[in-house]
Amino acid sequence: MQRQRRKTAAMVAAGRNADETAIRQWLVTNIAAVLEIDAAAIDVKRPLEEYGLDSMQAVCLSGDLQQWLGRTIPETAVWDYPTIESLCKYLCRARMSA
Amino acid sequence: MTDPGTILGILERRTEDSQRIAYEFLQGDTGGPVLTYGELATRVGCLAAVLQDRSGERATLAYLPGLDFIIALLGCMSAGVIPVPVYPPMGARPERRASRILHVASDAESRLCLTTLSLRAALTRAFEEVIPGTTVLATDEFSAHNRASISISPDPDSLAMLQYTSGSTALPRGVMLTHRNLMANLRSIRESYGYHRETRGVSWLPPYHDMGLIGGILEPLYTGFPVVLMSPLFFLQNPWRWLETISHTRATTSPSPNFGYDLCVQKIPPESVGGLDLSSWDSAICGAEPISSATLRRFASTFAPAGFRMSAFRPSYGLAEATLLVAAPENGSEPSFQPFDRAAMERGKAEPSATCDARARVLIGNGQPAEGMTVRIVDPVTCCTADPGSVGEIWIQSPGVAAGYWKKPELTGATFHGYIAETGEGPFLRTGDTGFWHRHQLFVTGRIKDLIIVGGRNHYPEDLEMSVCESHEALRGVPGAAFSVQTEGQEMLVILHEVKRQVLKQEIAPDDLFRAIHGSLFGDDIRADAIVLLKPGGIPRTTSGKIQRHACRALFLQKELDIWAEWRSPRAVRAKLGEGRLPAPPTMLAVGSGGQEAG
Repeated sequence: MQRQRRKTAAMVAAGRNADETAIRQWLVTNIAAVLEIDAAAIDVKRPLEEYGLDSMQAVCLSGDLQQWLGRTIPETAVWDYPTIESLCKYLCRARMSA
Repeated sequence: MTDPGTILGILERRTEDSQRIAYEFLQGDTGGPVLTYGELATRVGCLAAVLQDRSGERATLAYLPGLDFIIALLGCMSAGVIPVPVYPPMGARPERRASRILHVASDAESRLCLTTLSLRAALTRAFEEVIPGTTVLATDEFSAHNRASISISPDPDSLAMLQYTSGSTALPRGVMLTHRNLMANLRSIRESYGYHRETRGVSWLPPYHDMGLIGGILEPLYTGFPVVLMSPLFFLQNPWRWLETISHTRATTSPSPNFGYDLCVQKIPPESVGGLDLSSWDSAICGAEPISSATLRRFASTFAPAGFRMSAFRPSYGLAEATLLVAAPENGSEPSFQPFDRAAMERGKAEPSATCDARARVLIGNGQPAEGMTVRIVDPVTCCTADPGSVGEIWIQSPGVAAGYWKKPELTGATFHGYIAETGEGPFLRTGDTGFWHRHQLFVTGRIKDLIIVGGRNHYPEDLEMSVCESHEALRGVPGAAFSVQTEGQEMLVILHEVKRQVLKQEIAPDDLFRAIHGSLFGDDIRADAIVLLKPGGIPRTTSGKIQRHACRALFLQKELDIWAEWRSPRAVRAKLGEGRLPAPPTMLAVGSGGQEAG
């Protein structure tokens, strides 16, 4: 059953070259959209779970992030880096070492 | 051919075809490791040799989804060790999730934990602190060892495994499945879905219980068809992977709870649909949580261009206490969406409605009882058979019904020993679910038990109440209640909690409490749709102090609570949850929050 699979949905990774500011902005916008709250109400230093994000939404978000950045993101990234600030730093670090 | 009596006998028989593929575990977009029947039998035998001197004990299995888990499960059975699958700790805070394993291990009186090298150190530390003397073994270490393999032939009536359906901590319930239970239900599943050796399966469900374990892992072995597995996280990260795998492997059967079908519609862009071929898929099983007709319709129309057929849907009913399956519709028929009169249903009567407007509630038939199943609709108070057309509790008798709950004689008696009052017939499993018969089909309407089912997972209110209570000083030691309400085909979690008297005098912002509660529920893999904080004494209790969840629910729905502060999720606001618009069911029978509803 081993075979080459088609590449996951042919989407352009629009955030391939995003810098830290752009990544932070993307996270705030997209997390606000998932939670259906005003982006201005999100404090990047607060754990996202305190806003009512659940673990399933967190995994879905890692998938969206993966698509936007065009690289592999661990499924547990949003649990492991629970604030936007820490997640953003991790994503920038991970890119440098990639 | 006669049944060999246990799943181990089946495994032995499968080795006649030792090169045939049993399992593939997909972990990247290019495939993953594969196990043939021959390799599976060898590795199971090797592990059994390592475990044989622990025969008769319970072993918790703490594995990420994957082939090692399957080997451990069968290796235990083969050594006469009783496997107890649990959710493994994941992410950066394993200690938070390890506590569930420890509760289950302690309930199951287990001194043996099987896992993989990646988790061994963390689990060893966790066990040392709470259950010292527990042996923690990494079974992926043994595969290279060339030990003599052994295989015992267990008595069909001996315990095959303990099935814990959630990470329940407050009141863990280990369903005792004997080999006979397993074999009986595996046979029922095969007959209901018409499985055979040419069937091909795909499953992303958590492999630790019910649909993921019995249906996704053991059934393919039992019937002898290959299955491609992937972890739930791999699916959630990109739902396209599930459908692409079905398309690629020409799979014929694959299950999902309702939310999985919804997620595909939300996340897969229309331009990707054309790249899929779902025409081989003839058993799109839905179960594990209430099924929404709106979800099924949306999915069918979105993926019709990929060859998906509405008649592939198999809305099924089952529960862990019956091993898995109870009822499923016949192959090849479209799901029966049937509107029933809402007002009549609230009186406990199932009356078909001519219209599909707000006065009707659309339910989906779950077909006929599976082979070997006796299903009765019974009045849960009098224990008399319900009148035709009446809603009652679903009672089941079958060789697949479990032997009871591990070391819980009272709970076992109350759940597994139902006797029909007028005939004395029994024992029946009292499912705690309500339903009725209509045109020879079983329809499930709701639940009289307090179980909360969200995202295909069972949550016991006691566990959520405990988490919430511990989440903030202002909530500690005062009563709270967790229950669910179903609106628009979604099951929503409601948390009611009193706050300490001192808090009312202090300057504690309600937002702090909401945040703490959200944070604690994250650890339980669930989110709240409504949080209502009450002044002291606001939670209805019995004279002995027991929390009355049904009364809490009714007061919440009727908007009759003495509220200090409240919070709603946006979807709860849209559904007007708890704004007094939903009629509070007058009878115990209609209190259930499960069932199926059109959006």
